[in-house]
Amino acid sequence: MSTPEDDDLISEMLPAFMEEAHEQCDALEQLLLELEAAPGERRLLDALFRCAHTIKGSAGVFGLDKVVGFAHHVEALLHKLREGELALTPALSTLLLQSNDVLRSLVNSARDEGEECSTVLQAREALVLRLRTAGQGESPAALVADPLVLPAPEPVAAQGSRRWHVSVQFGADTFRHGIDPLSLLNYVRGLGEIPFVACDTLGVPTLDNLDPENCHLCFEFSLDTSASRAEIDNAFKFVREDCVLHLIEPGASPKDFVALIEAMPDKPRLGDILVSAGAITRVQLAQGLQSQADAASEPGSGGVAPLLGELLQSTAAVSGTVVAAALQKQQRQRGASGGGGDDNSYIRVHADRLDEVINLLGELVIAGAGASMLARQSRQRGLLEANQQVTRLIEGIRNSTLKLRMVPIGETFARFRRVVRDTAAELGKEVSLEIEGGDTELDKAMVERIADPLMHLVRNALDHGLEPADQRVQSGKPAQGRLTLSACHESGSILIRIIDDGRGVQREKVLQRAWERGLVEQGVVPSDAEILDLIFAPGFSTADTVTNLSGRGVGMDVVRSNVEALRGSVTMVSEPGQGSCIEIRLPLTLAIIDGFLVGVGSSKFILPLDAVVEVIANRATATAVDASGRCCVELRGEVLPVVNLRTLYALDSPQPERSSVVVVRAGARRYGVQVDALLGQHQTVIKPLGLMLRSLRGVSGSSILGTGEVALIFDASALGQLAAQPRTVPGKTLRSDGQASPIANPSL
Amino acid sequence: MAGPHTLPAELTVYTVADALPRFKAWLDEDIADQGDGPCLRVDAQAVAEVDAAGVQLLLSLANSLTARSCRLIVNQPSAALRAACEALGTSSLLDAPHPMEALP
Repeated sequence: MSTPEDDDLISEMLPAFMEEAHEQCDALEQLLLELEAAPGERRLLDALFRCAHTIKGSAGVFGLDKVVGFAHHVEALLHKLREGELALTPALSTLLLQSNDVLRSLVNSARDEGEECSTVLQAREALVLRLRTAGQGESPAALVADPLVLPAPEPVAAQGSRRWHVSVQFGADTFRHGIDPLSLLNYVRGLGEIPFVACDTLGVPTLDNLDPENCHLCFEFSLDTSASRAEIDNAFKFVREDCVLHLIEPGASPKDFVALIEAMPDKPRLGDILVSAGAITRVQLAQGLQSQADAASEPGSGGVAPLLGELLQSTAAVSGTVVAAALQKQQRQRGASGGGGDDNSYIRVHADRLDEVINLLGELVIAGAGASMLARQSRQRGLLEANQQVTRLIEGIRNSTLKLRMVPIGETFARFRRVVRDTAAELGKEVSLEIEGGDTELDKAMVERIADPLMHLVRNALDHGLEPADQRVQSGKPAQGRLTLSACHESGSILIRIIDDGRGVQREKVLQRAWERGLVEQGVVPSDAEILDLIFAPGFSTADTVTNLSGRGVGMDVVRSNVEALRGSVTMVSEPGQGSCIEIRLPLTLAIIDGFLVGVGSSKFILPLDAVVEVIANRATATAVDASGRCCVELRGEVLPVVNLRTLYALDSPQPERSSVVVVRAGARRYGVQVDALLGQHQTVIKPLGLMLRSLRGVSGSSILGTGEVALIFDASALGQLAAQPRTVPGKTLRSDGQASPIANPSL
Repeated sequence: MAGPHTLPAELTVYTVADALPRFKAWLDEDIADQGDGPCLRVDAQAVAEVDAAGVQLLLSLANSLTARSCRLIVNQPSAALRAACEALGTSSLLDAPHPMEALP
């Protein structure tokens, strides 16, 4: 019954369906993995069923029969699980996970109109057979698929018969008049076949409100018959006065069904029932009911009929977004203003549009800073106050807009449950994955780009870090290894940790391999931290065998370079025999930061505000400095190393007599940065460094100030590391590499 | 968990008026959660005669339970009850947790 208009609408809405279906598949996978740890938990079983149910319902809107057909089998099996007719075994769980993978691929191929290859088709049919067998309580494993055993096709109307739709609402006195609707329906069956019948069960009152001798029954059914309208009508002649009967002819238009729904406003589930009967598609129903709502909302028309969103969402069979999109499209076609009428709390926005807004916002921040500066110079009170108000509003918009791009990292972490499960099984190891701080948010772009490095680190931990169960037991550890993924905010960055309680890094092996590869001069023993850092060198691997997962030594250096491309850093801490911890530090967003502006000579620099601990203002400039311009100051009884930016970056301006020290926190360390002037807080848009300046260490970006000057933005950790490195030639530190260090680190 | 209670042999327009107070009394019992959700179990193997009025009474019982966030579970439905529910499109009373989920 689909029309060209339906096809356009479906084509436009398909991406929304695909995205939502993928979300449901992801949820299904997570729930299955949770269910393995808590097999009987009702909440999980119900949620699992709803996922499959929603995928099936939404796919039905788009006529994606393959998805509907396959989802139906998954749903049926999940229903039996939910009812306690089946128990979740590892084999059943694996079957359901594999089925979920097939559902994903079916959703992905929703746009494909070509023929499916026979291998894929046979594989899916084999899986269907396993699902059905498992549903009968037999083992789902090791079943030889017989591609010829297929479910019987749905029966079509017999030759010569036509399919009518019958709607009958029995009156309250039906029983009293000696009529039994059951007998009547059985009589009507004599005219042909009733392939589908549905009762509006919700129309029956609860026991407290029921007079059991009143009839509250209402039926919708299809009737395949060669009988005429008069003959069908005649079957109801004895109840004609006790019921409301609608006969809709074969080939009737959707308008006829909408008219039926309009005729029975007290049957809120009628739309669903008609769609289930195949009388109307959901798209047609959406369009028809929208016109109903439009008419009902006109002045003088009376009450408002239920909207499609309420009708279809009441069974959770169709996602709200799909429904809302259908209604919005209808409204655009009619030139109506206003929204889609549904009360979803989410709106899908294209990522490019969001980026455009953030770009404009960045320019607004810069322009606002310029205006603030001019307002201060003018010393006009009214202008200053107005400007402060504007600055506050810009800050508010900035915070809200940046939040739009923030997503919790837990969604990425959760994907690793399946990876850990399958990889551990492949390696014959027992591993539990714990996730901490999953609600920590970071920029969506960051999440997408950190996923691959994280995947490699997780696989590495599983392959190299964690020992097999027997080795662990021999070492006095529990047989099951523990892998923890954690995330938290710290000092204006996001800190991600991958922690395992495995064998740890074996220093001797690493050093030996480094000597063999020429990464370290033979016989030279670097510090512990430097040895661990060797693991990130290109081509470095201590694995004795190359496995599918790791061992080729092409992973860790790529992880580091990917992380550093995001202005982040990755380090490792390890205790032999106890385990390892890899820390990845990333900026929260690539766009805007709150900074602390400082001046050295005529140059301006920005330190991330979250990294600034305190300021020691206006003290006599230290004279006892080393060749690299470093000195120490005493701060509340502790020694604080201080770096002189003038010396570090070879700035030409003369050293003033008095200067200030900004105390900066970088991880667990603190150090001071000596500057000439403290210029206060400054929110700033981060502009990426140009190609020429990308090799600068300690600097993560630049910003344009309100005056038009350019200020370099420091990375607190990198600046601290740079300042800590010994120098042989003061002032020439930034572009040289490998100086005075036993390690030839090409990443410098 | 409350029950199982037994459905009468005849559940027709002639007996529904008598069955109603009994069904109401079942609702007033303490329906506990035994791990698969709060539910009322009724044994239907004795139902030999049933018509639309009888099925309507069962639907009313199911709706009453739903309003209390409970389920109706019909154990061992007789052939007569099965046939009637199938003919009236209410098989979900016997198979699914609640008629509300009968439709895909």
